[in-house]
Amino acid sequence: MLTVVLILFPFLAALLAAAMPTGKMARNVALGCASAEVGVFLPALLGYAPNVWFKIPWVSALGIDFHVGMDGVSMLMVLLTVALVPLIIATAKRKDFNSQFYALIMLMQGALIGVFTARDGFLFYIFWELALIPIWFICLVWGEEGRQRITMKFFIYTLLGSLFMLLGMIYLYLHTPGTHSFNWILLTQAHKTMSVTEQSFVFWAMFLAFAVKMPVFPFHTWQPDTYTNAPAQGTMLLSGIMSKMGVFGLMYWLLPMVPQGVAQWKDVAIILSIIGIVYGSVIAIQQRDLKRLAAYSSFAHIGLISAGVFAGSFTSLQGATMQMLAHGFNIVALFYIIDLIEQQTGTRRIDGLGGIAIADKPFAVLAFIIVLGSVAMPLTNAFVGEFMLLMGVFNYNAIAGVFAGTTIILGAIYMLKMYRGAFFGEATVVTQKNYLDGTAFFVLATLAAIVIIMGVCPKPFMDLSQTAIQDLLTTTF
Amino acid sequence: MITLILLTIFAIISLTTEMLGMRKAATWTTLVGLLAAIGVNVYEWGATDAIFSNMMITDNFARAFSIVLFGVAAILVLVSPRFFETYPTNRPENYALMLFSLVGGVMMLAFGNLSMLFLGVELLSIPMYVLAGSDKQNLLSNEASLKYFLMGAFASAFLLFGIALVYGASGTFDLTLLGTYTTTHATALPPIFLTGILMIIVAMAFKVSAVPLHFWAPDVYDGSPTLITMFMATIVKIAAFGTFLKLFVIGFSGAMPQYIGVLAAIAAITMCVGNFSALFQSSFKRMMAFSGVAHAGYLMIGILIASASAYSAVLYYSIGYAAATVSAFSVLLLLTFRSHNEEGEAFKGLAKKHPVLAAVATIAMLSLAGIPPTAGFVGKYSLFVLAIQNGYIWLAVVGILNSLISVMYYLRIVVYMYTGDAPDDRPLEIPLAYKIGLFITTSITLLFGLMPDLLAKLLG
Repeated sequence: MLTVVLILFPFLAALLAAAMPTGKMARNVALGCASAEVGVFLPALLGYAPNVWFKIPWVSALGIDFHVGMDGVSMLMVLLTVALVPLIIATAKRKDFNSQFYALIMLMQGALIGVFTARDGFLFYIFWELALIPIWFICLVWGEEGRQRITMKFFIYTLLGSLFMLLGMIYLYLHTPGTHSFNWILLTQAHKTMSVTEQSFVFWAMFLAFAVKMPVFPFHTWQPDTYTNAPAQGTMLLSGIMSKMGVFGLMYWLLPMVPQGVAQWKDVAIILSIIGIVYGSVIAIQQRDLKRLAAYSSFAHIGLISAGVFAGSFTSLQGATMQMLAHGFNIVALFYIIDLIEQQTGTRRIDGLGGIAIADKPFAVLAFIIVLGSVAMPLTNAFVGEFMLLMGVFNYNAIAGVFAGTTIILGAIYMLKMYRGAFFGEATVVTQKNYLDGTAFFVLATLAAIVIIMGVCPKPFMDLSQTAIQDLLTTTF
Repeated sequence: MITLILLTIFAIISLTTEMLGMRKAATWTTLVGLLAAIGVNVYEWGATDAIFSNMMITDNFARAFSIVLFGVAAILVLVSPRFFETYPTNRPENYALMLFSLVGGVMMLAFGNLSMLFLGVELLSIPMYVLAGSDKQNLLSNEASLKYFLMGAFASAFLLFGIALVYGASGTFDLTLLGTYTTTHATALPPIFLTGILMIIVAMAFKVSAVPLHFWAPDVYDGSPTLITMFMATIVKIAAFGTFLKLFVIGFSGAMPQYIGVLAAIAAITMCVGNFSALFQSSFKRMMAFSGVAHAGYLMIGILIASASAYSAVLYYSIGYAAATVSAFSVLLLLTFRSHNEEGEAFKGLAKKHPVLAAVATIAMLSLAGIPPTAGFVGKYSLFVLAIQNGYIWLAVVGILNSLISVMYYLRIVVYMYTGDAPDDRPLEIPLAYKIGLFITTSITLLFGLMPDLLAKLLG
């Protein structure tokens, strides 16, 4: 029941925010509601909520249920969403957005939680599409120059994937026993009556959707443009939470659905993911625009997560879960840092920046913690996940492991290069003082604290996801 | 039967209001007539009413489609008064012709006999030929009327000849008997019979504007007054599809194997041609005309599956399509009262000017593009499920790729609304009738999208 509240409350909050006359009021309402959402979620996270599963028939004739609930992995994904959304709203403080902007963010939150908790194929698809519309509007209305073309590309790409996913889903549905059902458990059994060829087709139909969303090479071409062009908050939502929809989809809606199809094609998927790691990192090194650099870095990191999911061992899946969480927080922090720099200096090109470390020490320190998190230093949050992922990929195939491992070196190169370019060196004409106001300090400090806490003691998070991943593996194989 | 009498009476009442010099009352009498017709059908729901030795069989299928037609017509009438202020046409005549056309629609949907089908088609079409030209001073409107009439007459000839050939081979006009004939002779249908079916397909494809018989649609839609375009795009098309479906489910079911390939090809080509052509239109009405062609392609999936489950899928799709199309055109009407600019660019900056109206138009566009949670999505979904279930995965794939193309031009309108600057900053006046109409269509779009079994429950 609690899960239903978690899904529906943001939708109500969206209505409320949309009804506010000014953007400032809407922001406060949205912030209040998003914080209240955290309050609602905490009992579930700490295990005090008696029942997080909920199921009522929605379209009984077609075997569609409103079936939502949270196992460990879903719980962590919801945690990510619930924790990030209020922070993202807080980051918009200095911007002059109207009430619709905040309504769209809340709408997005509801849809995202729906995606992570749905256990019915049809419902999952509805939420999946529902998450696309608000973010498309955010990018379209508040994006930078040339947004019409870029957002259209983004929409078409994503929709291409999801429509094929729908096709795959319908195909699975028609292979469920009896009068057919979209129930997750029954869908996972549909493959028993399907040949390997059929499974391969379904694999590609559904993989396309997730590959576009994450994104995985070569379905990523919408991503750098969209990330760069979107308003900072839009980029945070896209990179921090939406890209996890793709990985989550892989874990819950692809691996268990067509095991033989996965077995047939996972080598190709891993190779594509690893190409993404190397390719994304190399391009990130070349970038002069901070936002583009972060976009490509995100692309590379997601490649590793995707490779880990396909490696399919317990370690790698747990690593993927941890890394989804860590990457979500880190990339949001990174985009916020870039946004703060751009707000103060009016530029986000590395060449034009420098000397921020001298001008504003606390900002530089917080930013450094985030950068360390992004390059997966030990005792930061990304280290745990990345280590387990690399181990999983390495155990699967040593050569793949070696190539995937380049992410550590290349990641350090572009991240530290970025930090050096922007924060060290001589102060330039545009370098300002005071990048942080109260809100910015609070948001960044929270995120930096998360980087360290999750890095030092990852065990609670791993314990939470353990059973879920074991269950998933028994379903799969 | 009562429906037919009722509509005819109200059509005549509408004409008499003119004689009595109470033109404005015509709107309300027509509206009352339509609501009464809906009421009659709801009241008689479940009863099968066969008259004139099965010439007309009004069953639940016919009632459901008729209710949709009347509902759409009622909204059109509701929004018409403001429209007639800008067009120099005669209001009561327009209403009367619309009602007569609806009589034809009802006859088509309830036909039990091919001669009745022909009468229905003609009765539906002839008032439309007149209405297409009702903007008498406008050359384009004249052209639309002439074009529609000539091509329509041609299609009618095909229909009649097809019926004659079918009769020649089978010796009957009766739909049920034809069904028995085709199933018993399924393996050895005479060529003359098959030719007859082919000709009937040609005629019906013309009426639903399926490729390659769609060429009239853009010119006629563009040239006709917008209100009439709405009528053609929704009511005429839905009535024709209901009839088309009934013809194949009951009458020619045994001959399906010979024609399923042809119908599948028509479906696929119609989708592609419709969507690709719509992509390059700058006029909103032309775009909607081609989008109508594309939707005919999706609906053809229902025709070629031709089973009982296709009924509900086609009905669902029709409702979603009609609601979204009426919404979209109503917004266009509101925008063109002052400027007469029917380009897609007329929508520019609408979000700043009137956010609610922009949201309404966005929902309509999303529904037409088939994006959840709208009725358009559920309709498309059920058609694709039908296709996959019956082994036409390739058709579903073509449909999916086409939906993607369609997103480009539907969202272009949304992009205009949310990023452009309005051509002028005079505030929009929205008459109450439009508010009611748009509220109804938008609610239907969303409700049918959020509750996919709503229709089944209503019909249940």
